Amino acid sequence: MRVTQGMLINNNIKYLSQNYNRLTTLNEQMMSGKKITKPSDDPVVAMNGMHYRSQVVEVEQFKRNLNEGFNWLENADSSLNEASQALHRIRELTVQASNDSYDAGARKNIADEITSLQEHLAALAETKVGDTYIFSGTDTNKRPINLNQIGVDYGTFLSQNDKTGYVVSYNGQTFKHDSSDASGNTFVSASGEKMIVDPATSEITYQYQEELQYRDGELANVEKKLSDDEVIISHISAVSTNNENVEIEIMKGVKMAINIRPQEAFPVDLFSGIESIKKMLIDPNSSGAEINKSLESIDTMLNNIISTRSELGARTNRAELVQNRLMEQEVISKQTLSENEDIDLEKVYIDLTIAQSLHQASLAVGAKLIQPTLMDYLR
Amino acid sequence: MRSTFQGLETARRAMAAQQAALLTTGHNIANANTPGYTRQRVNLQTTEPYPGASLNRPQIPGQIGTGVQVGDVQRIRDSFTDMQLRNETSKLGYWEARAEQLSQMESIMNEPSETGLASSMDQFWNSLQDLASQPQNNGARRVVRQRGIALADTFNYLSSSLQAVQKNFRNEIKDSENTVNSILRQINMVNKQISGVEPHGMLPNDLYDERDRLLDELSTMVNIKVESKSSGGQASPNAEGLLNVYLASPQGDILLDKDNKPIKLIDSATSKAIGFHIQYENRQELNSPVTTIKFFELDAEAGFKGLTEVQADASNAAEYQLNDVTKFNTNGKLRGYMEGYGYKTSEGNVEGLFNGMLADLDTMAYTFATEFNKVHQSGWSPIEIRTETDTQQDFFSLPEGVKGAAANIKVADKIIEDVDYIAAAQKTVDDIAYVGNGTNALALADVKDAVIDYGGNLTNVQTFYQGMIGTLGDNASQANRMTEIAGVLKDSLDQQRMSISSVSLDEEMTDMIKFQHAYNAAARNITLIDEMLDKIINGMGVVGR
Repeated sequence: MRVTQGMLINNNIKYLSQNYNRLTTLNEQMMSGKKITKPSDDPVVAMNGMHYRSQVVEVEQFKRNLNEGFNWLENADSSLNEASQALHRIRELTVQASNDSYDAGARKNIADEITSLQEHLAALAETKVGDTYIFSGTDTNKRPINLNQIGVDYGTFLSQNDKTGYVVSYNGQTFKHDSSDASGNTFVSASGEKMIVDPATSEITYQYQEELQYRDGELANVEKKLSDDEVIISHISAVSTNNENVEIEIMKGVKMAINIRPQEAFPVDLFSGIESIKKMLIDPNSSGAEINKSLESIDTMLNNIISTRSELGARTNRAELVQNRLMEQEVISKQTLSENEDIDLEKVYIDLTIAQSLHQASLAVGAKLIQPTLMDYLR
Repeated sequence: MRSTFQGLETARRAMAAQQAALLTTGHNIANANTPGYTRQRVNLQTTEPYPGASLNRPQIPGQIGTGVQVGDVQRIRDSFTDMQLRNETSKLGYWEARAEQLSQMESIMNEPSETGLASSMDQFWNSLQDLASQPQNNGARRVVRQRGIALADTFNYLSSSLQAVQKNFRNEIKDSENTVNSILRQINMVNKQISGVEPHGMLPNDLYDERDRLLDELSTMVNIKVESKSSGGQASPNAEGLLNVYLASPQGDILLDKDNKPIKLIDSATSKAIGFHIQYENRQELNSPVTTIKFFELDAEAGFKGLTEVQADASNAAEYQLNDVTKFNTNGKLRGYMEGYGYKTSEGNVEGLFNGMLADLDTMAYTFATEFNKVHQSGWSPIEIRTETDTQQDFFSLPEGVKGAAANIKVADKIIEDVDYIAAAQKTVDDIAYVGNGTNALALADVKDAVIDYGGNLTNVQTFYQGMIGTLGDNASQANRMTEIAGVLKDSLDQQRMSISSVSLDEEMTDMIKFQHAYNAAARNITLIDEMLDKIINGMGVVGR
């Protein structure tokens, strides 16, 4: 083949430009740290890159959601912890008061302290995270507690045809409306004791079983008439009845409730029951035995809080497990993202060095090739 | 009997011929760097020997040479390589045009990155998740609105940028059209000049070079097929004749117009150049698709003979016409740009790289926003909760129909007005919606993963968009690869052509010395004959005087 200067020069320029191209690509890779800068460099890497990016974003978001969840769970736990302490104190005070030697004045003082503890409990139930009430179901911008509904007027209560939603508390024990009873005027406690109101006579009949000491603890049905100022009538709406869960997404398609429902954490029994204990303490006729009996109700309230806290603990555990999972996932998806599109620094560096020496060599050889012509040797 | 002065004539002829060769060498050296120049060679041939074979020839033993003459001056060129090269040039032109457009498209789409549409989508999703965990938080709502605006803006931006670039390529088509027509005009002119020279037996080498260079240029725009016709008269056997130029397919077949007439761009017999007229659905609209390609006779100066552009649009008397743009089956930049810019098939579909991408963006924006609105309507916003009425509020406002969705998608005015129109809540079993309920925000976030009908593909928005980018990447990398391959092929053919045709200075130097020596020797020969004659005239018959 005939080769001319023009061809040599063209070839030289072509290869030099190829070298520059290679150097540019490697430089770009080196500086951006990425194998590709546009989809055409490698469409598959580009598509996967977009997918992995979304994955990383998602995992990070789920972590953020989970943080919000922890915020709720921890705040709820600390509130419930304080609530249980308050209840312990109420129990102590009640035990003190059961001592028959306490006179009316001393009992009044105890009742006052219980009042402030009750207010404290209400404040705890209104715990906020940010501007959100956490014990208010999904009705998060509304106060969950409405103490007006504790101790409602007996007459109004009595005139209601439908007494659903009302509770009657007596000596710490709370009786809920018995919907199975046709008259609609029967209230029943958790232990099965009954409280029957008669709208006609406005009488209250308390039916319970009593251990007869003298008959070796045999149980006997007892009926006792109560006056309306011995009981506390409350409406369930004293505590928010919103039963919804506040849910966050913690993994793709997996949701978790982060709230404790208001009626589970701070049931109306709690406030109504405490109110009736106060009433009992102020009443000079209350006997030590009666007060002692009310301790059982306080224990029930305490147990309720403890079991709620254990549920919270279980949920926190689950959230922690998910958090660990997410952290692992984050590492994995970031790693995948990086493996997909990040350069192997050593490799690119070596390639760059090779390309540079190649470029220098071609410059040197090119310069040598294109300079001499026959003219240099013709006289 | 041979002549006394025959030697002088032989040497003179030699000097003249070597001088011609030296002059051509000089011409070659002078044009060593002229684009398109083909080295020339003086074909030296011996003159008629003495005596000629005839009845009354003198009886001498053998014939005696009478010297040298210049046969003709010829270009050293291989037309087969030219043909191959032009074919590759067309291919290169096509893929270059395509690669150029796709690369611009890639920079507009800007994926994968932290700033593209995918990332806006992710951020929007993030804000919805945040809203789901804090539905009553006004700040979270504002973020959702802002990210929604950002997403809509990204759609608007992509759509308008793509359209802007598409409009630029309209100019590129116009330029290509003008270039092709101007080249055709020039070829026609050179053809005419050649037809004036060749019948006299001369070889207009430099005109051939010019014509070949123009044909090379033309082949970057379209595929051509060249057919040579003798110009008649006393043309030299080395004459290349006049050329008819046809529009051809990449396989080298002549393209036929709608009436099955072969499309002849240059007709040497009638000295006509037929130029391209590209017609759009609506010439006023800068992104209106190409519908028809017409061919009209070109005026020697500018434009078409007797037709303005508008008249050409209306004219039905085109020399040739292609009503189906897909039948414009030729490589080269012109088709590359046309395919990118957009054209209308005979079935009425609007195709093209930019139109395709825009349509995909529209489908994506429309389908996503419609589904999003559907979920949004079913939810309850704080305002709806307050007033206890379901207002069926949309989140995005969309134009009627899919077309133009990406360009015009906006966050609904109500939402811009008050973020409390964002419906994050859903009604629960007891048929009440609460502000603290974030279920609908989660449902809105889930629209990203909802498998719905995206223009016939059952998929989710991310996968659809990834598919778009993947296709773009595939197309672009194919175009880049083909550009590279066609470039390499073209380079190697160019090398081959240069190997045959280009000027080698070393060679010319050698030739120069060769011819110089011959010239000197011929001059020396004259001196010799001069001395011989001197002997005869002045020294003969004086016998030592």
